[in-house]
Amino acid sequence: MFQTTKGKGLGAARPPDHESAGRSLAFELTALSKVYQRGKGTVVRAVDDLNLAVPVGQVVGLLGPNGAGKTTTIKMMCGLVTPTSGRVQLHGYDVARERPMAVRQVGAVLEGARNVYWSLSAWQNLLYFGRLKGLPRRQIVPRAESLLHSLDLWERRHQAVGGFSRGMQQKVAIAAALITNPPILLLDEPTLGLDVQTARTVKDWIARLAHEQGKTIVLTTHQLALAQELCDRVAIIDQGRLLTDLPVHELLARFRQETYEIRLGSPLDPGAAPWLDGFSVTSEDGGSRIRGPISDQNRLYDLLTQLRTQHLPLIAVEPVEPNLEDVFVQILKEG
Amino acid sequence: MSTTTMPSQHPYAGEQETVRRPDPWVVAATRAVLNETLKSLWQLWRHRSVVLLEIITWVAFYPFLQFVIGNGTINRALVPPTLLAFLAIPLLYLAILKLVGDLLEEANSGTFEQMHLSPFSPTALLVGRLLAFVLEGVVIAVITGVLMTWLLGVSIPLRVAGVLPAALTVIDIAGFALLLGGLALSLPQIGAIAHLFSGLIFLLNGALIPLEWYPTWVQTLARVLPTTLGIEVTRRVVLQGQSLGTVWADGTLPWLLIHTVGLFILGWLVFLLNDRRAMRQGMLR
Repeated sequence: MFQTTKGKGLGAARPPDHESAGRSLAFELTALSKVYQRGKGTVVRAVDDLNLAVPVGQVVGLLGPNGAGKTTTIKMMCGLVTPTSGRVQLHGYDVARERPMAVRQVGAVLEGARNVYWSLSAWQNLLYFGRLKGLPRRQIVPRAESLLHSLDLWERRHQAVGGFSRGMQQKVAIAAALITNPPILLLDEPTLGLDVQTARTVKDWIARLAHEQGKTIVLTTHQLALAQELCDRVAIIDQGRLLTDLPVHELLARFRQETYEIRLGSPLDPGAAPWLDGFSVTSEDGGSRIRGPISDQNRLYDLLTQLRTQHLPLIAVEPVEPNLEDVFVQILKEG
Repeated sequence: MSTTTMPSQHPYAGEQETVRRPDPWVVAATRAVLNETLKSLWQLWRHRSVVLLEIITWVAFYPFLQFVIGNGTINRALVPPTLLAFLAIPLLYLAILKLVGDLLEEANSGTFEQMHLSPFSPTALLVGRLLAFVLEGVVIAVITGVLMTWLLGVSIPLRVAGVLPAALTVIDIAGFALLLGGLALSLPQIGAIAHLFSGLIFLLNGALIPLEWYPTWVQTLARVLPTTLGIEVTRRVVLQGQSLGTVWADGTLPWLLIHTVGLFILGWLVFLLNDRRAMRQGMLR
């Protein structure tokens, strides 16, 4: 699918010296740091000594709370932010030293940005972004036709993107990122602000891009259910530091024995229950569910005692399979 | 209901072709630069009613201006020199204000970041974009020139030798636009500065009254500003029939050349450095 000889040609995607025993790295972040000087003497360490190596064809979830450094990491990966120290390699190309070749390896949909020109049509946008990466029209046109058909945009391809719904605009942005068929796709909050149906379409797309076309995808999202469904592995960062980097199944297995769900027969206000720190509380049908890690019997009894003191009717207590949200909350709490 | 049909496993037939026969770097880079020009022309076409209004306004502006300055009459003797200087003004306004406005809007909307995902230099791409605005300015200048000479009954001789100083004037304007575009990356208030300089150039480059009518120190100041030297050389070659050798020998053309090349290099460097600074500070948007 991709070229295997390194050269100055526009199609060069992966140099052979980075292939090894059937397993090659899509990207590698080495001791990556970013320090911002904000005002007099104020230093913000957005990313701190981040190391991450991801093989080709994986979907990686880059998760963390707001301000964790996810977007800065994504932007350093595609060369939009210059690292203070460290190195980013995309398919073996160093973003700092071999920028022209490195940026050809990625397509990006960035958070909170239009990503495409609203005054242009979807068709014009795809032609523009294809040529921007150096491709001639004869190579862009078949790809653009295919993308627009598959994203249900063909009939409206000549209309200005500014008149589209948010979901359609996001589809155009994804199509523009894919127009050169890059092996790596960086998606920063790709489903943010989308309705359920469009978010599902985008999610299905991401899954197929990874599993049918072998693309490496880096995904940042606050929708942990989406990350759990899509990602092969998850890297959780907080305050610029990598807290964990594991395959999703392995991450969930580590917390399997520790997660419990307690069902109550009445609603519970989490704000009035500070002893539930680290638990998620959901209310439904007049009752509530408390979910979270309980590492030993004493903790469980303490919790039940608190519930009894509050005269909260207990319906059930059972161990449950943890989901990514449980793990995420637990890891951040442990820091 | 949306469908989620994917392009086939190998939908990008052209990719294989690229692998076999990659385009030379210079061809791809030229294509990317002209792509910026084309994109800006698409955008201008999308807003064609505004462009039409701009053309009408600029064409009507010159006789109105001369009418006011002439205290109710238009002095035909002043038309050729002032008209030549005036023709540079729409070009200057469009190049500067549209480029700066474009950059600020793109920085706010996020498409400026996407431009940086190109393998080609953002500065070179910006020159491509500038080309579209220059093209629009040239169209307006030509329409204004033809209409005014016809309506006011004056003639401006078409001399081939005038192409050189005219072209240098256009490059001079492009360099100045690049300079302000570069500053726009670090100074969000650049719009006010751009308007101030445009106004100053409009007042002093000879579009209102011939440059020689100003005091010597004002003339000196005016020649430092973009377009003034270019207009002066163009006027001497086109209207006074002087040869390029003459304007070279008296030092006017060399000064124009130095001004043009110097301003363009300065504009390029300022954009490049501010762009890198924005990337270091994470301020590209």
